[in-house]
Amino acid sequence: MPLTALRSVAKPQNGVGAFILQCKRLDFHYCDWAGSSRGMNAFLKSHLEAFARANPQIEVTVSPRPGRHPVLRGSYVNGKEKSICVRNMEPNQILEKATLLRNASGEKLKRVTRPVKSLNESVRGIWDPFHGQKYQV
Amino acid sequence: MPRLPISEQALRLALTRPSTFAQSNYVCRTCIRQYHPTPVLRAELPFWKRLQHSIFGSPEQKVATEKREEAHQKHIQELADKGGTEMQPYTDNEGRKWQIAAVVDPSINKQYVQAQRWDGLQWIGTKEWVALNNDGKEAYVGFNPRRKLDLTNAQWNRLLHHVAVEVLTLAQAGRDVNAVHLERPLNVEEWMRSARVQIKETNGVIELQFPTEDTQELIVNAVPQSLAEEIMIAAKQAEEAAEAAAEAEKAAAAVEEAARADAEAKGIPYEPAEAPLEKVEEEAEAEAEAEAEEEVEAPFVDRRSAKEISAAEKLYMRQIRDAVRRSASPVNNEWLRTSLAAPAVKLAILKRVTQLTGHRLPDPVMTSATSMSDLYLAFKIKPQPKKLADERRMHNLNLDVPNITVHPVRQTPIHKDREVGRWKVIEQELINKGLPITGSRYQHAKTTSPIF
Repeated sequence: MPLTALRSVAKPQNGVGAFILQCKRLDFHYCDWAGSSRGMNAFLKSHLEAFARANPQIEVTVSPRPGRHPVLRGSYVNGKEKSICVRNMEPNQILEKATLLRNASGEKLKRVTRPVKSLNESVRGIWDPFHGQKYQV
Repeated sequence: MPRLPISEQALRLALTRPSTFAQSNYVCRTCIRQYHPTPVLRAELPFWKRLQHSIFGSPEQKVATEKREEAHQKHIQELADKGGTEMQPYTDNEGRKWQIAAVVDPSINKQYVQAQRWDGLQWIGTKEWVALNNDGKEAYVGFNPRRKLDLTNAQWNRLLHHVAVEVLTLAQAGRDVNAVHLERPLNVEEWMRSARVQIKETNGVIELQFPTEDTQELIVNAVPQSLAEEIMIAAKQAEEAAEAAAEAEKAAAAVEEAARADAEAKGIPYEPAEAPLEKVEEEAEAEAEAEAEEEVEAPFVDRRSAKEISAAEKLYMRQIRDAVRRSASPVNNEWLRTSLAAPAVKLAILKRVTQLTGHRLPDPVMTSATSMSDLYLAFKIKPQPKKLADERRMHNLNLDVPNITVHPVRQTPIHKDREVGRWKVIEQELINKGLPITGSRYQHAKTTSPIF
């Protein structure tokens, strides 16, 4: 009689039952003087409010960095940070980058070779030489 | 066999006992020269003769020295005949006057007494000598004031109008516009007077409208003609003062004479109440000498200390600020349309503004300015560039959307630490360890930390 598989306790998975956005904070840095911040300044005036309203779980801070290119910096639950320089970008492009940081997990980017992942154990169970049909030598 | 130089070969031939020399590798220079087949140097004079001349001098040099000494003695004798141990006046090519000490030879100038001790003689290079011979380099006073005058836009408007009125009035009167830069005391009345003058330009012709008939004359007369005139005016004033003093002296002498006569008539011994006439004369002579010294030195040397000059500059700047503040605004702003076609006028205006305020326009701005409004726009205070954080929309963002925070200044790691409440711990620990809180401990480092 084959052994029955051990029943495992359900592991918590983000998105199964509850979803916690991994991006916890977004910093918007701009310069009042530099021309590369023109798009950023327009974004802050026109798009930021809507973006922040749509993502109430993200803390949004805006602060100047005089004499520097504009930067978006995302802080994640895993303690990591991701920064994107948005110099000379249009407000729409900056919105795309902000969305990218918002959706990111905070993990390092990896090449995906096997697109399907599963945390479930194999339904066939673990192979055991003493189970199943015995071979007669 | 190695090839030998000719001199060495000759030496070997000449030597009776060449074995010792042949064994040695070194031949001294004197031996080489002594036995050289050719003359050592093809000079007119032998070596020892030239050596003698270089040490004791050649006959030509001796003759030249004797002539020079003779001329020097003759010059001293001439000076002695003139009776002179006095300073010799000398005027150089640039017209500067110098006092040169006369050459004195005690053997000729019998009246000259040589000092036997150091006391009382002038020591060159001491602190006292430096203080006495201060050439005023430290106390240099330039054309521009050291400090810049901060003016509001309205005050710039008044100042530019005043300067423009002065320069254009001078130009209309046929005077040199550069006379406006000559130093003169500030008079608030002049500023009030010029504020009422209107400048208009019709078909390229600048017209000045004076409120009263004598205004133009007053403005023109307020500006000295030239530096020479300025000096002459000062000299005239000094002469008048001297005349007044002489008259006062005469009057005093008359009073004294009357008093003496009165005392003699009464049989009472006369006692002069004032200082004796000799003493007064001595004082007058001393004053005259001091004045003469000042006259010689004044054009070249400013004897004031740096502190005095600084105080004078401060006072002058305060006077200008008061004058600008108290003077009235121009009647209208039509004067700003006045063109600056004449480069001399433009330069005179700009120089006067620089002289009064210390502000100087960059050359490209100066060149491109074609009207008074250009000058005003260049001088007036520019509004500070607007900051994004100061906009009302950004201010209200936090009220509308609570998850947005807008910081008006750059956020540093210290802000982050302060936000989570650990900065006070870090700061205390840094202080305990005697480390700088921010910045470094290098000299002139930007640090706010106390250095123990």
